[in-house]
Formats: sequence, C-alpha cells, structure tokens
Amino acid sequence: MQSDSIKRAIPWMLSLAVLALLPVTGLLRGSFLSHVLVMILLNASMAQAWNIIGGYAGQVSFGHSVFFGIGAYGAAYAVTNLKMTPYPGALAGAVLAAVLAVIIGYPTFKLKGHYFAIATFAIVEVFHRLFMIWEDVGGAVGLDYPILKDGWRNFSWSRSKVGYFYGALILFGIIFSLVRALEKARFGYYLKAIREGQETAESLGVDARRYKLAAMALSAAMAAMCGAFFAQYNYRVDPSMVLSLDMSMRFVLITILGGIGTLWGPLLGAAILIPLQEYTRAYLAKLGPGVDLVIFGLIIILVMQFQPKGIMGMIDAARKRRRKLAAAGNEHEGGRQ
Amino acid sequence: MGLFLQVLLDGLWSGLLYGLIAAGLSLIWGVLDIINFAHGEFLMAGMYVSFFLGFLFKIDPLVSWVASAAFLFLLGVVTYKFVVKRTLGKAMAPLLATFGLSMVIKNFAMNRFTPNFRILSGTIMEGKVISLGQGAVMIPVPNLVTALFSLVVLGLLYWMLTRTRFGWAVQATAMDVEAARLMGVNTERIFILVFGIGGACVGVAAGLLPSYLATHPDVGSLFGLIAFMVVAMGGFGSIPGALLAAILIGLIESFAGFYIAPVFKYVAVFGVYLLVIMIRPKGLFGW
Amino acid sequence: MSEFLQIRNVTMKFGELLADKDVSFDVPKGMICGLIGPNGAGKTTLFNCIAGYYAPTAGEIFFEGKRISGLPPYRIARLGIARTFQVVRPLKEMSVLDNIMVGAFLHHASAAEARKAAERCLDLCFLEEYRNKPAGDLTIGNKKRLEVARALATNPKLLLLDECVAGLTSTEVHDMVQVIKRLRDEGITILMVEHIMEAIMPIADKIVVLSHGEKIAEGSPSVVVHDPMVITAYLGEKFARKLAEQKAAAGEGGAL
Repeated sequence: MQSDSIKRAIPWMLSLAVLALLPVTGLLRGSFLSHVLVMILLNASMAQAWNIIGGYAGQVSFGHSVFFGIGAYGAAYAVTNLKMTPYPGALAGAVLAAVLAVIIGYPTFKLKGHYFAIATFAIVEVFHRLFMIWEDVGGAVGLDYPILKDGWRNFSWSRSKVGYFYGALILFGIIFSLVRALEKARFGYYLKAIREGQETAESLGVDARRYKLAAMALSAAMAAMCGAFFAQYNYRVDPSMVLSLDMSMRFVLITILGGIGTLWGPLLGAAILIPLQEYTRAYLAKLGPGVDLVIFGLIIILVMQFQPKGIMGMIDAARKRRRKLAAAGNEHEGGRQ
Repeated sequence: MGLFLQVLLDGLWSGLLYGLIAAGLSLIWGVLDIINFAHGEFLMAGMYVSFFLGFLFKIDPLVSWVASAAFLFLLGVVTYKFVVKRTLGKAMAPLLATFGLSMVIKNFAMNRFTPNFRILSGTIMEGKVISLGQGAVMIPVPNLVTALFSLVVLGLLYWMLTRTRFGWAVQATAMDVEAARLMGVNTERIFILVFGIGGACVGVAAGLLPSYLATHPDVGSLFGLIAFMVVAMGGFGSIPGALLAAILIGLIESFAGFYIAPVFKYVAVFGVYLLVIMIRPKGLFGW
Repeated sequence: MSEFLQIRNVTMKFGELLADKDVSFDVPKGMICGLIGPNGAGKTTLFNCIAGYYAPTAGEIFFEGKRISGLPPYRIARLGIARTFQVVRPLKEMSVLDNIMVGAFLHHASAAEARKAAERCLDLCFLEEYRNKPAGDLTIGNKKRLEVARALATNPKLLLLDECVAGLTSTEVHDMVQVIKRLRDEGITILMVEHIMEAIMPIADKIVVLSHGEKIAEGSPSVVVHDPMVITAYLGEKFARKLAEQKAAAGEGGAL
C-alpha cells in the first residue's frame, strides 16, 4: 500500500522537480518563455481551482472571476493603500471569497442547468459594476502598484521572472496536491456522486448541499489566491481585467479543453492553450488586433464539435482503441494456435 | 407626474427592445434547450449590416432591417449546422461552442471594423421626438418605432407557435424530440428553422438600432447578457414570460437609473433578476 | 418501542390527488416485508415518504422509536435506512466499485476501509467481475444489483427495495432473489415494493397490500393471497382463476 502510493506520486513529483529545475538550466533567460511558463502555471492553477466545484462537483459556475477579483483586489489593496506586504491581503481575499462563495452558493445551488449558469453571469456583472463605482479601490481605473523592492517579502520581481516562476509553481503545487488528495478521499467521492446523481448521493447519506458549499468555498479560496498572484504579477488590477465574464470563462474553458473532472486536465489544457494564445498574439500581431482571439474561439468550437471531454478525453479514447486492438490481436493469435 | 411618466415610458421602450432582442433566444432555448451564447454578437453583426447599408448605400434602417433579419436568419442556420448540431445533448458543449463563436464574431469585427463607435447620420427617424403636454413627456420616435416592431414580431411569433401547423410541430419537438420524430415531424428541419427564425428576430432589432445607437464590436455584450436575464426570468421558452420579464427589466433599469443613480441601473437590473430567480427558480412563467 | 418500523396513519396528497390515505402498518425487525398493489396504488409514494423524499401530508413514521417523517433523505440514510430506486440510478461515470464505495463512506472515513467494505458488498451481490467497469455500461440486471450493493454498503438496518426485480430476465430474477435471501440472513430487515408476485411470495414473511392508496390487507403471504378483497381488488378475477387452476394441477403441494 505504502509503496503503491509512492509509485503513484512519482509522475507528478517528477514533473514538479523538472519544472523546479528549469530556471537553473538557463533555458528561461528569454523573458518571453518564462512569461509563458508563468502564465501556464497560473492558468493551470485557476483551472484546477475551478475543477473542484465545476469538474468534481459538476456545478458549472461562470462566476469564478468574482473570487479571482476579490483575491486580486485583496493583494493590491494591501500593497497600494495599506502599504503592507501582499500576504495578509491575499489571505483576507481568500477568506472573503470563501465566505462569499457560501453566500452565493446557498441560494443558487437550487437552480438547475441554464438557470444556474445565467445566475452566475449576473453575479459577475453585479460585482463588476460595483467595483467600477467603488472609489476606495480606484473605481474603473483600478489600483496601480508602486515600484517595490524585489523579493519574496513583496512578492515582486522586476528584473527577472524567475521569482514569479517559483511563486506560480508553489501556487500550482498547493492546489494540485489539494485536488489530488481530495480525489482519493471521501470528500472527492461524495462530490463526484453528487455530480452523477444528487438524489442518489443523498440516499446514501450524503448531505449534498453542505458538500457543494464546502467545495465552492474551497474552490473560491483557491481562485482568490490565483487572483492575488495575478495582481502581483500584473502590477495593476481593474474591474474589466479581473472581474469580467471573459475572466470567468477562462476558468471554465481551460478546464474543459484539458479535461473536466480530471486531475491532469487543467495542467494539460493550460500547457496547450496558453502558449498557443501567447504565441499567436505575438506572431499574428501584424494581422491586427483580435486575431489570436478569433483563433482561440475557433479552437473552442472545434474541440466542442469533436471531443467535448477535451485532451483527457482524447487520451482516453486513444487508450481504449489501443486496448481494443491489443485484445483483437490476442484473439487472433489465440485462434491460430 | 410628468417626470414619472417620462421615466415609465423610457423604461417601457427599453423593455420592449429587450423583448425583441430576447425573443429569438427564448425560442432557441425553449426548443433546443441550449443557450446561444453568441446571441449578443448576432445583434452586433446585424447592426453592422444595417450600418453599412446606410453608410455605403444610403439605405435607411427602416428598410434595411429586412436585410439584417435575412442575414441573421442565415447566420442562425449556419451556426446551427456548423457549431451547435454536433454538440447537442453534451452538457455544457453547446454553450461553450457558441461562446467560442461569440469570440470569433466579436474579434473579427474588432479586427475588420476597428473598435470605433460608428454613428449613422441622416436617417429618417434621426432626432425625431413626439412631445406631449408642452414637452412634459418626450417620446423619441426611433425608440417608439422599435417598440412597435417588438410588439408585432412577438405577436407574430406567438401566433405562429400556437396557431399554425408549423408551430405545433415546433412545440411537439420542444416537448419530446423522439416522440415528435415518431409522429412524423422532421425535427432536424425544425431545429434549423428555429435557429434561423431566432436569428431573424434579433435581426429585426439589429436592423433598426443604428437609427439611434452607435455600432461597435462590443455593443452586443450587454444586450446579450440582458437577453439571458430576460429569458431566464421569463421562464423556459415562454414568449409571454419573456415579454413580461423584458418590460420589467426595462422599467427597473429606467427607475433605478433615475431615482437612485445612473451607475446603479444595471446593478439593480441584475440584482432584481437574482432575487426573482431565487423566489421562482424557473422564472415567472416557468414550470 | 417494540416495533422496528412503524407507519402511522400516513396520508400523502399532491394537490387534489390522494396518493396514500391513512395507511398504517408495522415492519418487525429481521423480516422481509412485501408491499404490493396495482399500479397507482401509492406504493412508491409511501416508499418516498419513508426514505424522506416526501414529507407526508398527515401521519407519522417511526424508526426504532424515533420519528423520521419529515427528515431529509440523507439524515434518514444516516439512521440506518437505505433505499434503491425503481428506475436504476447508477453513478454512470464512476466504476462499479466506486459506486459502492460512496455508500461505504457513510461509516468509514478512510478510503482504504471504505474500499474493503465495498469489496464485501460487491461479492455479496455477485458483481466481482464488473468491479472496474463504469457503472453506466452495466446491463439492467447488474445495474439493479448495483443499486442493492450500494445501498447495502451504507450498512443499513432497514433496506427499502423499490421494484428491484421489475424488468429482469428470469435468471436475473433468480440472482436477485438469492441476494435478498443472503441479506436477510445477514440480519437486515427488508421492505420491498414489488409488482411481480412470483418474486415476492416465496421469500416474504409478511405482505401489505395497497389499493387506491388504502391498505386493504396485511398478513402472511398465504393468508393475503386468499383474502377475497385482495383477489378482486388487486389480483383480478383472471389471476384468481389461474391460481385456482394451478393449485388443482399441483395437487396438495400448493405452489404458494
């Protein structure tokens, strides 16, 4: 048993180690590549956070930019207005996001299907507009960071992106290992059971509403942490950047394109989509604005046509095909003997 | 009193416009059980059709709404065939596929037509206002005409759905696709036509709007979102429900904007929507 | 309290529709009790009242002396009442074992223990060979046994089986009957709603008959089946005649 779980941990431990050693190799000297890597890890973290409620518990929320935004504003407010380090702000943001998630989840979990989706759109709009007119956090202009001293204390690096890279790696490591632990525990089983059939889960003693709320709170707190990281990395926040439907969609799309409700889906989705987006933006700039997003949109349409379960779905299908082929092969040989 | 009436009427015009925009979305939701996320971008695309017809060929929106409706009928059919059809019945896939489409349309417009606001000048209805009681109440003609169009289109849609053979086939398909198919309804044709008609309805609004509203790539976002609220608040595919919800939303917007503060009007709209949906989870006319 | 499960004057109304009217009966511990009646007799409604899916309009239900009517389903499950669904509800994308583990987690906090408990239920319900299959891919007979296995994994004192043999082939019915007997031998009390008389008569210790929402008979199978009220109201004259013919053919060793 013990050695088994160690064996199972090898792939991700190894990937983490490789990623952690990347800066040492000097490959990251180009700042664009390190920017892309930071974005991959940040987006994978966001998707993984969303995956808890959207993937495992099956509550497809389009409202996660609210939690992301609260975390971003938490960190930014601590730094810009309170002249503190970002950490207490990020923490307060995470707690606030979790509380808000429960307040939002309590009534909206009663809604079914599209009604739930549209309600979460509306929540994003309400928060977006409230932050637009809230003068204390800069209204529509948002909050701009001052020049800070480099280092972990301020979680800020201006000369190289290696610090952010490690920061993002830690963020992703935390969320990934959390989801990994959850997947194998009672909590994860219960969430999946609720997704597959809430009444059935309840007939087996699962307090579905409590578990959904807990998953939502956890997911929101993690999304807020991602938001805080984003604020530190981006050096400014404003409502349209962090608190918008487009940002909410990012959580959903990366998870779904990678593989919803799977452990590796969010990372795979981010690892493929983010470079694609960043590089098309860089190289297709001469074709005018928006071309990268047109391509992004086309990819979404295509994936939804052919493999709505995303990359993990493709891998699964390929595996099944191979197994079937192998089985057919065996039978054939068996027949000859 | 005059002021109150003014605010009330302004809300009514907005509400009827929202009703017209949301009608097609409601129809598509009711029959196919999907949200067309690109609905707002349909509107935007139709507005560009009308704008360019006016700008390049001096055709008035009062005429070019026909072209805009026809264009969006086609866009609806194409959307169904190439974006939606294969995703039907797969959880969130239709919504996300149409979200992808909305990105394509919006950013294509951004790329081709620049983010600039384009205002069509020299239209027949430009700046025309009916003044009542020595200017106590002003009725802008373009808004009034759009509102009348809305009532006619919604009326026709309702008549078509409840009184014609085609409408019965649509309703049968909405209730149970398999059963409708067994009864001899060509459900595939129904789906295509529903998407086309849904597009054409929003096309009517899109064609008229350049008379009094600037056209730009992001113009559909807010309208699309409001259309979602209207449909969800009205209840699953109900045309009367959508009309009622649309007027309610128009009035809330108008009154909150005037009596609280303009910046609060959409907070109020979305807030009230959230309250309504908490009390009636399936909308006012939902079951 | 002497009785295990007590149904006391339960009435359930849906608007004007009266599904159950003043139904009372007891299920003693350790028994297999059958709840039968024609379509629309109010059996499943009564079941849903016991399992907490509906709160009865009037009347009360007691389990081990504790009033349970009006409690939510998950609280009732935690008290030791598990149920299966008439229309099977596998957790489709989860494996058969994982389905059962969801039930087992009720009394086992750790995954390893829950897995061990689930394995036992897997064996008990003849599902070993489908262990890692997605539950959605099973045949209907296996799905029905999965319902039982999953409910069983919650370690219930009382098991509510809702038409668990309806729609099965005769071999599948046989398998299911074996499972039910095993469960009784484990000491689990069973209340089963059933349509197929052949499945329930040989194994039930007690039968309650509902018709149009009212209890019309209660007693051992042999008594109930000869009750004239039951014969006319539920079995119908045709079946009653057939029964008589069968009896005549089988001589003194009556089939029932």
